[in-house]
Amino acid sequence: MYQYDRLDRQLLNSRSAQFRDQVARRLDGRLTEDEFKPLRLQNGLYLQLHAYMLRVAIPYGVLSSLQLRGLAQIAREFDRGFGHFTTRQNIQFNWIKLVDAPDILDRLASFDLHAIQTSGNCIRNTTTDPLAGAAHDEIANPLGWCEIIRQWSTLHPEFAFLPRKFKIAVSAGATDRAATAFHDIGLRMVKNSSGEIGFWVLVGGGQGRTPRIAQTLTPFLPTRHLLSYLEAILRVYNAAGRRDNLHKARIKILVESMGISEFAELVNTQWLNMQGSAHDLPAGEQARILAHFEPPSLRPAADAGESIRRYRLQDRGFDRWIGQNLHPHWHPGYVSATVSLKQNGRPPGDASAAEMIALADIADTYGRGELRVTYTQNIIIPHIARQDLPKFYADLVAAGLGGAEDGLIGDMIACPGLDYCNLANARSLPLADRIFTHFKDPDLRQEIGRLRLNISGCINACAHHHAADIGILGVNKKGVEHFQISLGGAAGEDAAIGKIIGPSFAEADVPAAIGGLVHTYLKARHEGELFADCIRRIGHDPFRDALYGTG
Amino acid sequence: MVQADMMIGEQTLAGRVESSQLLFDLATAGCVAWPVSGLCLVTDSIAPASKQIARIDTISIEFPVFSDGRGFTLGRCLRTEIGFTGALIALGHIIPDQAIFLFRCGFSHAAIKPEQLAQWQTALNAITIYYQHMPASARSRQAKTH
Amino acid sequence: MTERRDGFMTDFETKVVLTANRLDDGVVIWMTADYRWTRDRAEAAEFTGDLRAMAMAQADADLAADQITALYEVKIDGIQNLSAREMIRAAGGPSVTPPIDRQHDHHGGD
Repeated sequence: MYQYDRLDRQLLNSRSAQFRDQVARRLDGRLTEDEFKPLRLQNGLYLQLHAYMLRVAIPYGVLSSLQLRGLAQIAREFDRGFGHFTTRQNIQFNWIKLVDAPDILDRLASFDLHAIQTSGNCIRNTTTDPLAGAAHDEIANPLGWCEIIRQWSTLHPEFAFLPRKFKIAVSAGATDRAATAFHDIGLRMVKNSSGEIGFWVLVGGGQGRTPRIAQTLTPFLPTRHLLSYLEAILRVYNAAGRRDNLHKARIKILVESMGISEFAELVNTQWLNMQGSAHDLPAGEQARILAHFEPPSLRPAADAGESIRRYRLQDRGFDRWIGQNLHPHWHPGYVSATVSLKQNGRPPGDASAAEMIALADIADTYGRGELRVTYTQNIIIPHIARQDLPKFYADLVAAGLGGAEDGLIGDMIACPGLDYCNLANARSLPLADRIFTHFKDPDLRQEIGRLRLNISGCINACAHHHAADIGILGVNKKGVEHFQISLGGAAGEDAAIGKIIGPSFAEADVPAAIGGLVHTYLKARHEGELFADCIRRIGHDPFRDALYGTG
Repeated sequence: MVQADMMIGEQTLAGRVESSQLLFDLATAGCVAWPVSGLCLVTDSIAPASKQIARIDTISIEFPVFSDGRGFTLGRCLRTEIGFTGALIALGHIIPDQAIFLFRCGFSHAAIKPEQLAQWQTALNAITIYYQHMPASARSRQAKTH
Repeated sequence: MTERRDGFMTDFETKVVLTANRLDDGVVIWMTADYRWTRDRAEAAEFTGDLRAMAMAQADADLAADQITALYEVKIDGIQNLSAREMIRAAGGPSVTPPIDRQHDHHGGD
């Protein structure tokens, strides 16, 4: 993990002092709400339906156990004892007071966290593969590059007032686990024919009301030019992105209206003009940052095959969990493990303070004191020795977190929705629970297999419903909450935007509709065929017919 | 972003600012006298070519609203790509909290409301270290570690 | 004073409640009959006609005095006031239960 030194901390402390002054000026009227709003957004503070919400940055999803305990304390002292993990690997607290925000930022800074640029028309948290540094299929560890991008983008003076928000994601695995195709800039680490490592740069992806899949800007960018090239892209966007219409202000609209070739030419010209003045990192600084992300030295692991087999036979829950929640590691004796924050009766992605503390302890005991927040609103603990899995699982169960949902229908992504959010048209959380109840038999969920179901409460698509096998979008039909269903989206390197299959449903009818889709799949699928592949093979018609009886 | 055949002319600055406004020096945090004239640009202006501004001492960039960040790109472009070395003034709707961003993008001055002078002075020193190593940036992280 | 056109109430007759958030702590508030703010939805007054204008004038003054933010009117028309959004907001919290924090779990050190 990156270790903050006194200079990094100086920035955090001066930033929270700056915000303290800004809050004071707002409260005494020296700043109007219009002037204050972008400033508070750039410190992560939204005014939501019931209260202010604070979005704390978890840079590229990496947390130390100390930081997680610190977040738990904040939940207890300043909020209602819980937090919500988001699709951008951040955490949100829903019941914050404006007057407490400066103290909270100071407290965050004391364990090297912050809320800088988690909202506003600026560069947001750079996200990545939650298995980064532990994955078995990486070209290189992307975390160091994420930290380099974080530093470059933090309080960058030219890009604090962009036409709209800007999101960057980095992936380095053979499979894209960071949804780079749906980001404003996606960076995929690749090797060229000389074995040199660089970035395949994609631009113009996004969700929202106009979902788009990112296009290739350059297939290979040498790593040493990452920052100057990013700067060229941001400069073109800042100068040319639309500012007349909020809904047409993202870079995806600019790229589409210009065409990718013309856009690429603009970026390349800009990049050449910037030589010498842009921010490629000095080699020494690059090495200093990347040195924090060397692979951990892991103690040799005993062969655990026999004991795991034994436990699986003894414990149905453990058997299910082993089958579902583990990820291969570059070290054959180790794994990374998903902690499912998805259960019947709880909002997806929420965790209580006690649960956060338990997870911090578990990460210390069995891992390297490190945790990852996933795009799917779960936690991953990397670097677990296989021989420790039975005890690891037992501790998770004791903490109430032994769910084996990773990738299954119960692993829903849901935005906070109308229960919390000012922008929403419909509630997503009660529906998520109703659907979970509809599929409450864990054997059934396991039989269905991998199925990504995402629920967004409005067109802003914060739950990435466009990139789901089954996407659900809440709409407002004459004041009543209704839900549109789409099929066939995908978030990885095979990125696809889901298609709406028909008229919307009332909330009470949605679970049965999902049941109909699943039933159609189970009847039609070939042996071992995933839901996503089945849709590709048989198309939408059988599913449409099942729901609307048009067959 | 640079058009070679644009007509460039100097204009008086008096018409572009409120008579009560002060000219705040972003380097010294003090107030100075207004220049009489200069090249007046707006945030969506195309940056002039270097030979067109060879004899110009002062350029002002007007922000229609403080959230229109194109002025920062234009300012930085004028300094780093076109090589402008004269006075670069930010006018229009700007707020004290932008002081550091303006300064680091190459603005030398800002037109401010007199009652906000203290806020601008405080704002200039709010953040004491930066990650990006901009030219003449003694506060950058890299400057401090070398 | 009442003018009915096409059976619909004129704007003058529209009944509203005024609502906002307290600036310093974000708490949802409603205007009472004596033009003050309360957290209790049940104490919200329905304003119409001249009194509605007076309520708005007081609310605008409170906005200008940096006491409140995000001010708006909810029409008591059976549509807006019964919308999902306004019902949830009036209830004062989400319709789902977040995870309960078990405070008596003490893990050493904190």
